[in-house]
Amino acid sequence: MTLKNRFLLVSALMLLCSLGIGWLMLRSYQNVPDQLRVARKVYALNRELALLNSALLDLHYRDLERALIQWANISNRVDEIIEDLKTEGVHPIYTKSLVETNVLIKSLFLEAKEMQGKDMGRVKRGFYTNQINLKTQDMIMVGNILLNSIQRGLIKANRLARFYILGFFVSVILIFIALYFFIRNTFARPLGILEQDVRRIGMGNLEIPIQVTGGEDEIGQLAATIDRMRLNLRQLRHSKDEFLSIAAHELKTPITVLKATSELIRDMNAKELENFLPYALDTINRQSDQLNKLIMDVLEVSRLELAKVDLAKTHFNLDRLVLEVVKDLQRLSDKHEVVVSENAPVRIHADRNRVGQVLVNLIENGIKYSPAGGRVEVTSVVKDAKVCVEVVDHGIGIPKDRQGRIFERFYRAHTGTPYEQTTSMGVGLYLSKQFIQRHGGNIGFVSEEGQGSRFYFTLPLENKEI
Amino acid sequence: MNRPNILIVEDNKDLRLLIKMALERKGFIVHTSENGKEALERIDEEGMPDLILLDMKMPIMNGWEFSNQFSKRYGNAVPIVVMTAAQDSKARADEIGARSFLGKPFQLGELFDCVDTMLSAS
Repeated sequence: MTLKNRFLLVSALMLLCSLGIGWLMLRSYQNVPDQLRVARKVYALNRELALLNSALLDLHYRDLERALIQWANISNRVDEIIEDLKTEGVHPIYTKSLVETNVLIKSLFLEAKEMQGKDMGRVKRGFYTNQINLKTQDMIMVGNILLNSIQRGLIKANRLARFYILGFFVSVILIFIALYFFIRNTFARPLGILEQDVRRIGMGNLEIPIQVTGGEDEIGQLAATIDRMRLNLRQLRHSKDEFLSIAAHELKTPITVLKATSELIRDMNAKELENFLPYALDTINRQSDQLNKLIMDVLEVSRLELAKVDLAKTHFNLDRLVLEVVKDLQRLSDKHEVVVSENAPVRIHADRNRVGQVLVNLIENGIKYSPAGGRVEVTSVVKDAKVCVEVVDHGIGIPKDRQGRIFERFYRAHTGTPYEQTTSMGVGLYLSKQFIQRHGGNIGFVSEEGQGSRFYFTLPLENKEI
Repeated sequence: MNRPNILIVEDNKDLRLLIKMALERKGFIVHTSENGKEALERIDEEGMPDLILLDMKMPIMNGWEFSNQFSKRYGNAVPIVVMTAAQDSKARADEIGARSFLGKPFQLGELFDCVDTMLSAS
C-alpha cells in the first residue's frame, strides 16, 4: 500500500472513531431537553393545583361562586397542561390518571355547584372540600411520580455521558498509541534503516544492499532507487578502478621500453650503436606518442566528466589529416594494410586534434580487432553539406548483445573474450562520440560478428567550405 | 656450457624486441611470442626453453591462461618470471605460481640479475 493510501486509511479510521464517539455522546443527551420540558410542565401543573388548593381553603364555602370561577380557570389550564403532556409523549398511564382525577374533581365541583341554592350543611361542605383536596393531592402525587421517573432518566443519561467522556479520553489515548506505532513502523523505522544504509554508501561501502523490505510504498521505492544508484556507483567505481589499473599498465609499458632503449644505448659501443640508433630513435618517438595519447585520453575523460571540453576550432584540410593519421598508424603493424580508398579534398572548421583523435581511435580499433591482419579501409566523401568518414575492417566484429553499449564510458566490448585488448581502456569510442557530437556531427557503426565492422562519422560543412 | 634458451612472451612489439636484443647481447638464445597461445605452440614445436619471461595482460591468451595450460602440460620444471605493471607484482607472481617477478618499469640490470638467479638455481 502506498503511503498516501495508508494515510487516507488512518485518517478515515480516526475520523470514524471520533464521529462514533461524538454521536454516542450526543445520543446520551438527546432525551434530556424533552424530559426537562416535561418536568417544567409538571411543575406548572403543581403550581395550578396548589393555587386551586389555596383557593379552596381560602374561600371555604363563604363564596362558592368565586371559588367556581377560579376553579373553571384553573381547570382549563390544567386541561391544557395535560394535553401538552400527552403531546410530549408522556406515558399514558400518567396522563390517563391525571385526566381521570381531573374529571372526578370536575364532577365534585359540579355537584357542589348544583347544591349551591340548597342548604348545605357544614359537614357536606367539608366533605366536598376534603374530596377535592384529596383528588388534588392525587394529581400532585402523579406529577411527583412523573418527576421522579424524569429524574431517574436524567441520572441515567448523566451516568452514560460520563461513561462516554471516559471512553472518549481512552480512545484518544488509543488513537495516539496507534499513531505512534503507525509513524514508527511507516516512517521512523524504515527511514532509520535507510539512513544507516545511505550513510554506509556515503562512506564508500557499496557492497551491502539496501535493507528496507516490503517495498510497495514510497519509502520502499526510494530504497529501491537508492539501491539501483548504489549498483550504478559500484559499476562506475569498478570501471574506474579497472580504467586506472589499465591506464597504469599502459603507462608503465612505454616507460619500460624507453628505459630499456636508453640503457641499451648507454651500454653499446659505437659499432653497435650505428645499427641500433635509427631503430631506437624511432621507438622513442613512437612510445612518446603513445604515452602522450594515453595521458590525453585520461585528461579528456576527466575533462568531459567536468564538462570542461572547449573545442579549439581552426580551418584545416581534412584530407591531409586523414593521410597523416593513416601514415602514422600504418607503422603500428606489419600485418595490416591501412588503405585510403577515397579522400575528398575538403576544408573544414573543427578541432583538428580531436578530429585526429577520433580518426586514430577508429583506425586503431580496426587494426586491434583484426588480429589475423588484413585491410583497414578509410574513405572520406562529401555529401549533403556534410563530410562522411568511414573506417571499414574485416576483423572480429562486435557481438550483437554488446553493440548497444560500446559508446559508454569505460565499456569494453570484448572483455572476457579471447579478443580482449590489453591496450583498451574503454574510452576511445566514448571520447570519439563526445567529440563528434560536440562538433554537431554523428557517429555510428554497422558490425557483424566474425565479419568486421564499419564505423563512420559525419561533420557538418559551412557553406563556403563546399 | 650450453647457451641458455629464453622465451619472451610479451605483446608490446618494442618491448619484446628490446628485451630480446638486450639478452642476446649477454649471450642468451632468445625466442619471442606475441601471446600465450603462440608461446604454447612454439614450445610444442621447438621444445622447452630454460626460462620464460611472461607478460600478464595480452590479447588472445593472457598470462594467467598461459601459465595454467603450461603447468597442466609440462608441470613446473621451467621457471617462469612474470613481467607486470600491476601495483602488487609479487601477488601477481604468486597467483600463477611463478618463481619470480619483474615490476614494470624495470631496469635492464634487474632483468639480467633475475635471469642469472633463475638460471643458476635450476
